Order: sequence, then C-alpha cells, then structure tokens
Amino acid sequence: MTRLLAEGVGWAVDGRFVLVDVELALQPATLTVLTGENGAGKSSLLEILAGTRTPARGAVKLDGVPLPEIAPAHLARRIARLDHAPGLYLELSALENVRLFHALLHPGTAVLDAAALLTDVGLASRDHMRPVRGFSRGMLQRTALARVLASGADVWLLDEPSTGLDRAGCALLADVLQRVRAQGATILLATHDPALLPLADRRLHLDHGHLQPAQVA
Amino acid sequence: MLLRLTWLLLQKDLRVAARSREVFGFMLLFALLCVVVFAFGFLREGEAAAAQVPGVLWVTLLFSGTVGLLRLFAAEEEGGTLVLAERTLAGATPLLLSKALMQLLFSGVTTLLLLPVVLVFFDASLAQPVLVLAALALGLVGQAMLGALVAALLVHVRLREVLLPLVLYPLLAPLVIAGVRITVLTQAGAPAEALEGWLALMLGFDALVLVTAPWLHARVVEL
Amino acid sequence: MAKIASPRPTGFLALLSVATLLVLAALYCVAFVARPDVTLGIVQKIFYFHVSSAIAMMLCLSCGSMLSLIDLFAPSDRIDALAHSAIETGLAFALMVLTSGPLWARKSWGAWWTWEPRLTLTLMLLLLAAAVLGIRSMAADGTGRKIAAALASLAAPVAYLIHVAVEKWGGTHPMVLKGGGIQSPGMQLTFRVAMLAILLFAATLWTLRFRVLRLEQRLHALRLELSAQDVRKQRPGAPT
Repeated sequence: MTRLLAEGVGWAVDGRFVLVDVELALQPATLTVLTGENGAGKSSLLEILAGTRTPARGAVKLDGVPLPEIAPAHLARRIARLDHAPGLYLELSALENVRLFHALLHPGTAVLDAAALLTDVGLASRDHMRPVRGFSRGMLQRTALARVLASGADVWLLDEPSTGLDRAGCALLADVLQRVRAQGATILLATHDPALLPLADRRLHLDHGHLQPAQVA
Repeated sequence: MLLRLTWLLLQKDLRVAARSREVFGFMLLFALLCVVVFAFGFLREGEAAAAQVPGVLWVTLLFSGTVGLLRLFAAEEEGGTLVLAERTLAGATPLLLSKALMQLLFSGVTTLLLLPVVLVFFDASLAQPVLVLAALALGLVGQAMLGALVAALLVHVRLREVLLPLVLYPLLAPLVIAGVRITVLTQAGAPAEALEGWLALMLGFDALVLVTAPWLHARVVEL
Repeated sequence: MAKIASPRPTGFLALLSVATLLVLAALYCVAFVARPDVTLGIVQKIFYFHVSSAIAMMLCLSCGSMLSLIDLFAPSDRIDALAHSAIETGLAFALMVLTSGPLWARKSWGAWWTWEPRLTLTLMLLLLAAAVLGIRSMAADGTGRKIAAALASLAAPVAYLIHVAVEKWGGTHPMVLKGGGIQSPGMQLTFRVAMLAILLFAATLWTLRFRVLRLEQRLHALRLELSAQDVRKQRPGAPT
C-alpha cells in the first residue's frame, strides 16, 4: 500500500509555477533519491509533502488521507524532516534538544534514552551537554539526525542530509537510513551526494517542474 | 496536556533566556532610557513632575514591551525550529501560551523594577498602590497575550519590526487609555468606585484576548 | 474557469449613475434646501456629509471585520475580496470623516482637533484599518491574507472597547440628532438625501474595488495557468 502519495501537485512562487503535475507514490520500506538542479523545486516539494506548505494545485495523501484533514500534531509524529536549518535550539545542549522535541511529540511516554541516541549518531558524550551553538555544521547535522530518530516518524523527508558531514558521518547516515528502511520507514532523500546514491531503491529527477526516472549515469 | 506542553516550552524559553542573557537586560535598559527621555521631554521648571507619572509609566511599558516582543521568536528563527515547536501534540497553542508567559514574566519584572525609578525621578508616590498594581497586572497580561499573537503572526513577514508596533499599538489602545485613567484617578484621590468601570474594561479586554488569540493563532499557522 | 465579472457591468453602471445623481441632489439640497443653522451658521452644513460618511465608515469596517472572520472559518477568494474591499472603502470614509470633522470643529469649538470620543475612535479605526491593509500588502500571498483576516476580525471587538474607553474618558460632541438640532423639514429632507447618497456612494466604491480585486484574482489565476503551460512545454519530450 502506498504510504505517501502526491497527486497533480503544483507549486508557484511569485505567480510562476515551479512544480507542475507532480505525481509521486512512496511505498513503505523504500528509499527514493530525488535529484534536480538548484532551484528545480526540490525543497519546496519536500515541504509540500511534509504538509508545511499548501500546494497551489493537487493534494498529498498520507495512507490515503489528504494532509489537511490530518491533525498537525499527528502529522508531526508521522512525518519527520531534516533540511537546511538544523531545527535545533542553539542555546540548548544536544541532549536537551533531543529530549525537548521528543517530549513535544510523545508527552508522557517513557523517558527517551537520548544519550544513547546521540552516541549512536556519533556525538561523543562530552558534547552532549554543551549548547549546540558551538557545534560545527556536521555536528549540528548529527544532532538533527538524532532528533529525527527520536521523533519515531515512519516517513522521512531529508533535504541534502549529508551537508557538512565528514566521510564517517556520511557512512553513519547511510547506516541509519538503511536501518530505518529495514524497519519499514518511507524515505525520500533530496541529494547530489554520490555516496548516498547507491542506497536508492528508486531514483527520480526533478526537471522543469516535473518528476521523471533519473538516467543512471 | 496543553499545560504540560506549555510548561515544557516555557522551561525551554527560560533556559534559552538564561544562557543567551540577551533580551531581558536590554529591555530593562531601554525602559530606563524611555523614562529619562520622557523626563527630558516633559519636565518643566516650576511644574509638578508627579502629574506626568501615569503617562510616562504606561507609555514606557508599552515601548519596552515591544523590545521583548520583537525578539520573542528569535530562538525559533535562528535554529529553524518554528514549525517543529508549532506542531506539538496539543497543536500550536502551547507555543503561543509559552511565549505570552515569557513576555509577561519579562514585562512584569521590568515593571516592578521600573515603578520605583519612575516614582523617584518624578518625585511622586502612589496613592493607592494595590489598585495601580492590579491595573498594571491586567495591562501586562493583555499586552503579553496580544503581543505574543501579533509577534507569532508576523514571524515570516517582511518589515515586521516596523509592522509590529503599527498593528499592536492601536489594538492595545483600550488598555493604555484605561491604565492611564486609573493611575490618574488614583493620584487624584478618586474613590475606588470610580475605578471599577475602568478595571472592568481592562478585564473585558484581557478576557477577549485570552479567548480569541489561541484560536486565531491556530487558524493562521495550522494550514 | 468560473465567470468572475461580466464584461458589461450593467448593474454596476446603474449603481454608479444612481449614486452620482443622488450625490448631486444631496449637494443641491445642502446648498439650497437646508437653511444655515441659527447658531453655528453655514459651517453646520458639513454635518450632512460628515455624519453620513461616519455611518458609511462604520458599516464598511464592521462588514470588513465580519467578512474577515468568515474568511478565516471558510476561506474563499470571493469573501476575501469582499472583506478587503470593504476595509479599503471604510478607510476612505474614515479619511473623509477626519477631514470634515476638524473643519467643523474649528468653527464650533475653536480648535482643529480635540480628543473627543468619536473623533478619537475614528482616528483609531483609521489606524487599525491602515495596519490591516499594510500587513496584507507586506506578506506573501497566502499568509498575508490570513494574518490580515485574523487581525481584522479581532479589530471589531477591540474597536468596541476603544469606543467604551473613549466614551468614559469623556468630551464634547455636538449631539445634533439626539438633541433635535435639525428641526426644519428642509434640513431633515437634506439629511435623508445626503445619507442615502453617501451610502450609495460607499456601495459604489465597495463594488468597484470588489470588482477590481476579483479581476486581479482572475488575472493572477490566468497568469499561473499560463506559466504552468510554459513549464509543461519546456519539458524534454514535450511536443514543440
């Protein structure tokens, strides 16, 4: 069964369409890589799929239900995003950030082992407690990845997730992605990173507002 | 659930504020500066300075509150967490409430520190301190809630630094008028009955804002 | 695509003609039918347009606020255009009231401006309407509309509280209607004609702005459709 479905999605900026008639069906336990030139509308498409932007045309459905009919709170528990902004409070430590966002989505559930999660994404325990303002881009990205992991979402929409990550970080990201895919997550990855391309079950290219299967070079 | 998540977000704001030590100090300094500038503008040789106290006090609170409101969502913007914080299990309302409480805390402390300064600078004393404090409390609650709403709505708007006061000040007019009137009347030694109407007006304003703001906020931010 | 405005605005032209004739009739009445006031003299004649404009302003702004609330509940382009044009028209009449008011005030109270309840309320309404329209123009399409609608729907109850506050604050305003200031039949007739003329004039302006906004919405939709077709044409494999 299709988990996330885009039907005839269109998106316009300043009265001009960037995305037109986008059709996309994402299945559980798959990883789809999305490529496209800068300004092709990859980020906008991810935001529309996540329900944080309303498309000018068409609709997005999660498990057959149109996004506007799903309570935003429920949506946030199902769909996780990672994009250019880290989505972290810079004055809080990595540990506090992960705990806070977990608690906002799953209040009252068992206390999350945030430290283990952060160690998992390769943050040394001495970095767990200091404000993330002092973090490098790669460390921020790792912390953000831990936040996404903690959300427990089963649809992952990632925009250039390997930005700032070193070789080890990339390998770790690939590892995490493979693991959550095996657990049944639906993953859509907008990236140009050659290191992540081999993970793809399917590759799509966004060109002139339109999705098509990418020619594998 | 709502209260619990609000508390969680408020805790976060308090922590951020304690670590960045940014806004509050400036807000206080700005308030002090306002009073000094008003003194330059209004004090004349040979005139009773105390007559200016109500106006100076309320307008200073209006202005210094704006400083806090303009930075209310700074942490969210910086880290790109706005959408994450809006989509809690109880919707966007916990975020709005936590921001309003944060603003109330800042402006409340500012007021308590500012009040004696104004009284000393303008050589005045409060005739009925309890009533004036009650009016200040009502005024700050309304300002915090409405201010948080306007700040939340304007987060992504161009020129919001200019637009926020432009929208907020006319909307806050009933509170400012009532607050100044109450302070003037108490200074003039009016009986408590004369103030009831004004206090009721402030109460009505606060009730209106407290009920409608979360709803309007949710209608706008939840797509 | 739905028909938004008919190419031949027959209804609108009829409204425009009737409003024009009535405004001319009102001017005639003010000049020749109503006699100058015994105490205030000729300046009292501002009253006929001043009060009518104030009522038109109140009607437009309350409609704008209510329509904004409806637009928040059930968003529709038509309601949005109606609300927006109502607020714009209300703003125009607020300007009219704030121009005619001081002229009258100068003669009757000796000052261009006094912080008198109704004058203050009108000024606040003008500021609120201007702020709402300003926000709308500053924010990107969808959000600006929503923010403006939220603020406009809040503005009506707040305006009521401002009204209560400034009334309590006190002041003097000529109570022409309640005090029975216009007794002569000529004056009464003039007031009725002026009232009707201004209300129809307001309706004309409102309709005009509404039609323009609807046309703009339609133009926007057409441009979008055109750009969508552009994008489709540029696709590899598209028929050239």
